Amino acid sequence: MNLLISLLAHFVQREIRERFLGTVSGGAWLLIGPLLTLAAYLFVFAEVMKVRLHADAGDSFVVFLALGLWPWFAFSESILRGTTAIRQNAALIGKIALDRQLLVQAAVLSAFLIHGLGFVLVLIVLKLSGYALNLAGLPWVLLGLAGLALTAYGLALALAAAAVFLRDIESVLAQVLMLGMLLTPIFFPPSQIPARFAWFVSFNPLAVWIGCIRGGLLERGLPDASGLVLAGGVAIAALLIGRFVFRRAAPHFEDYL
Amino acid sequence: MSADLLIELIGVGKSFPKVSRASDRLRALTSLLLGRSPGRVSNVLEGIDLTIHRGQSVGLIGENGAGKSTLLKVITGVYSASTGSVRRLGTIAPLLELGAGFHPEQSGRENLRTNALLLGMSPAELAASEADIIAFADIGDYIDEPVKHYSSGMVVRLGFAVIAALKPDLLITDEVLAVGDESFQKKCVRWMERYLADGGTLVLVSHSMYHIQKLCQHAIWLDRGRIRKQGDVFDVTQDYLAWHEKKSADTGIEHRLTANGEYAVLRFALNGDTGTLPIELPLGEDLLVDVELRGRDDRAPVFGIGFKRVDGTAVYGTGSEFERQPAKRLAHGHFAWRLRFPKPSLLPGTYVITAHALDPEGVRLFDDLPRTVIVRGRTPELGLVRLAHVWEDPT
Repeated sequence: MNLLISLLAHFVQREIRERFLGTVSGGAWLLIGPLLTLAAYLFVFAEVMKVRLHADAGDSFVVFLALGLWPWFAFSESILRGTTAIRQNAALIGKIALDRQLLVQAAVLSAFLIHGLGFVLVLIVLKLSGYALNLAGLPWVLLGLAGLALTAYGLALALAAAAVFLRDIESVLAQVLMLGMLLTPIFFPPSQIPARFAWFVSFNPLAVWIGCIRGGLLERGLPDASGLVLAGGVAIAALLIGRFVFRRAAPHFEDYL
Repeated sequence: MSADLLIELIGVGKSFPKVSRASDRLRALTSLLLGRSPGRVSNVLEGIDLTIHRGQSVGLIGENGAGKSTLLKVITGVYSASTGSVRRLGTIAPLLELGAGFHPEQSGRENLRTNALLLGMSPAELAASEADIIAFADIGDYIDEPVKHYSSGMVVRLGFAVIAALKPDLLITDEVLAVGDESFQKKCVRWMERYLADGGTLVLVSHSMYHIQKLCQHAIWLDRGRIRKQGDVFDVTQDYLAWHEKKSADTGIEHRLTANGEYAVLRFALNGDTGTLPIELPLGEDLLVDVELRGRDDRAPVFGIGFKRVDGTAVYGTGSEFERQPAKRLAHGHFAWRLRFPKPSLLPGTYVITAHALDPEGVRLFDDLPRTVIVRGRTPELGLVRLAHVWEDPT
């Protein structure tokens, strides 16, 4: 058990190092990257498309966007990296005996660590810039991130196993995630969603988790209990299904890689 | 003895799926999720039963494609067995394809850490032995360079250094030590000798029967995915060699002159055996040759005898003419010789002994009759024949 944890820690470290290896900016990119991304999205949505927040008066769009964007980055990147984790490490899998779940775990964990750190930096910048952030709501943030991470891990396990057999998954996944981003209120407040699509958002577990994060820090709009139960149930179901699929398929990975 | 069991395989089989179309993959995934086997497969290993005990060194032999590498991967746990059960007790270090799992973009130091942890070293042990590993690998400042800049020899050095620090319960290796420069090879061999002397357990895959016989007491002969024979290393390797030599001879050019009746081999007995099946000759026993030839017009033909290894390498030949040995006339046109080879120096292996009938002038070859002899025995000596020698005090 101890050994597994130290291996996981090592793989997470390795994954993160790999991301920044060979970049001149290295750690600085952690701050510059998120801020550039935020600026780009701000330009498009606040200046060009003029997304209005009148229903949630008092909030700045910058804060609103930032609080949704980073958790989503972590979620979507952890799924993408987790899905390719097995194929990317095909060389390792054919040569050394290891618990293959570890590779998916490391991918998910490192994506959440990298974007979590980016998130913290953005929050610090926002706070220093004088925006109102309710730091007492941090437990909600952690709950939201944990929910997202759990869901992402379950999905990544199933997808990683399936991607070994079906090459299509990797190529379609980016588009599906983009669609998911638009169907989850990231760029616009839930109140702006037309009534006929509202049911979807209220059933979208990702919207619930992001709602926790935003609601906690902005002191309004926390998801209700039924939403939390639903999203929690989805996360656990994703985890169970992911583990089942992975366990069934893992002994045969080497045959199809 | 069972307390010292390291590896136990019972009825292990490994099959690989035949994947030709993309739709096969979808079908395979579906059947796996339903808990069924993944469609069409080809069996690489079947019904393998074997145990490896602590301190036992096992040689694994067989032709290319017999399933040796697959078996090793099943033993190390890189592959999971399709059928049967595998038990592993203790740490196993595969000394195969050294550095194959290395990440090319990452530094040697980073890779050695990954490798050591994957092979079961704890972070504390790793911290304690990292300096030793780097010293053993002896690749200087390259240790902090990405592995993609390494020469193949450096990759092997680093891979070996990790294994050496690991002190595994079971070491699995092939002819991997034949790489790297000479001084590193010596270092590896010294390490391996100490490992074995300290009671280490080894599984060695090799095409060199010399290495197998030198390092192992037990051997397993794998043939088309099944164990053909296992047991004492000398028995198994000799049978394997005999089979191998025969196989290459069968596919080679084997021409036999047919007797046209004027001068022919009528009887050719080895140690009294006149059959056509191979005879066995224990190492160090006499070989008695009885031969009867027919000669036209009651003239004695010339008798020749030749020893060859099954692959055609000539070992020894002689004849009645060179040695001026007259025949014993048994009847009209019927001549016999008896020839004894006291303790022939032939080393274990398969030989073909051929009796030749030539005309009385010893010019034309009229007939020949080959017989196969399998020399059996235990000896670590190499080659075809034992050369007489004496060890003396160096002065």
